[in-house]
Amino acid sequence: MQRRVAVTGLGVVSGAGADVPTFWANVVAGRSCMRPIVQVDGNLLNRKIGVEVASLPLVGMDPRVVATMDRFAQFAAVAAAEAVASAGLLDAGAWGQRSAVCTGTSLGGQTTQDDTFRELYGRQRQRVHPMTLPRAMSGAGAAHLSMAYGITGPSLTFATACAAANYAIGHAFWMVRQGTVDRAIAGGSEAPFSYGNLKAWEALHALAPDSCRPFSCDRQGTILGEGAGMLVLEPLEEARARGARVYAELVGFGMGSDAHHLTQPTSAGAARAMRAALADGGMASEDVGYINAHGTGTLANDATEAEAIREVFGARADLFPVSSTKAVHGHGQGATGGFEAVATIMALQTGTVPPTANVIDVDPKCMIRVVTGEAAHASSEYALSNTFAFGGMNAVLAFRRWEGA
Amino acid sequence: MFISDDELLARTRKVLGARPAAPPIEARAESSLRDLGLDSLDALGLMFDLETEFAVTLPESETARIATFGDLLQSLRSAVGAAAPDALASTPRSVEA
Repeated sequence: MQRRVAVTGLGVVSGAGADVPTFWANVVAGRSCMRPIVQVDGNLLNRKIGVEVASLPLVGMDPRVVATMDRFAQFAAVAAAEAVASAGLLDAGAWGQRSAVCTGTSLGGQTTQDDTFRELYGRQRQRVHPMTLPRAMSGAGAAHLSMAYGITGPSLTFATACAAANYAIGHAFWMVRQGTVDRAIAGGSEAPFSYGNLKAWEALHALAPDSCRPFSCDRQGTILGEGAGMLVLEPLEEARARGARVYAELVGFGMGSDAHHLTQPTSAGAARAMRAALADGGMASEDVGYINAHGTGTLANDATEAEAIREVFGARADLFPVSSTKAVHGHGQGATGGFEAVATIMALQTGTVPPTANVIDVDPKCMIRVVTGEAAHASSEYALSNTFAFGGMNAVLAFRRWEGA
Repeated sequence: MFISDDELLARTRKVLGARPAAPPIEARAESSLRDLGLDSLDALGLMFDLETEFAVTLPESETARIATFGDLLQSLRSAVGAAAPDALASTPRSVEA
């Protein structure tokens, strides 16, 4: 007998808001939070805009611990703190062996590596800081959360690029559902604004020069965002028994691989992941009333994703709303599934579909109902959150609106 | 550029004091690094920060044997004294008077 799984905690830190209420206010208003990049000298960059976190609320954290954390791990800690507090699980002893932490990140401690290796190669320094490895390792986010909350069950990290957070949330969901653990913190974090990493993105020609316009006919690429999005998951019955607030039910998780190309997506792989999520949740395609799209704003992703939605939902793709919130919070790579899980849950809870910001005209090749301009009313019961990664790694989460039964 | 013993001590104390956790006791020559609240990795981190401060490299053979604050000052004295004046002058860190 599989257990139903509730989302009882939400946390986010992003350039679009360092807490859930601020983040959601910007997302639902379609307020794009792009700014000129400040962490790297803009004169050195050809792509100069992003969505950076202006100030990181590290209040209450031990400075000795903070000093051992790369920025991506600090993001994970801040978002998890909000999620755990909102779940009412701050008490010592709330976690322990029957709990898990699953994090996603694309590149982990890039900032540490970039700063460190600049000294090594550029300034011919002969040694690096002794904490370079533990700061930079991709599993550091999960390690810090395990230490912060006394999580002595599984700690896992998924490095599946821009789908990493959904892989993390999905696997945590499965562990809670099948009874491996009774509680989990799951999500993703990323800190991409280091010189070397921005140059790597520029070299791919995937970044937009001025603005991110998902599904728009004039889209020219994505823009990067940073931060973290975290959820607290637990069995629905236990959540209700302890009187916890339930934000949504997590009902399905699906994965699928393109097995095709490192950077060129296929609609078949994306469709496979959506179908897998529906099947995992025991849902029919007719149940879905909203999709929070991966919608990066690149030519390839948006057309392929629209085609995949059409493949899975047929003519119904004309009817139910789809939006991408990336123009607001930027493409958070390993964090983006975390951002978008929060946005999807808030959309279900409020019966409001956030708009796709910055769209001028929807690309006629994207034959889906893209919500643009203002938020739309939609009291859907089920929603999907899509994430698709370089390497053809696709992961989709299915959430259900919680109405108290 | 010559760095006096007083300046070496003052700047070393300043770097030590700027660490996330201030030492629980005042650093004296005989204080062990452990008594100053530093575990083995913290001690290596402090040495790294001091290498940055003085634009020197402490030899591996030295760092392994540094157990007290006095040992640390002695190693720095030797590294700073051995450093060419040009190297110090060209360091991006400000060299205080």
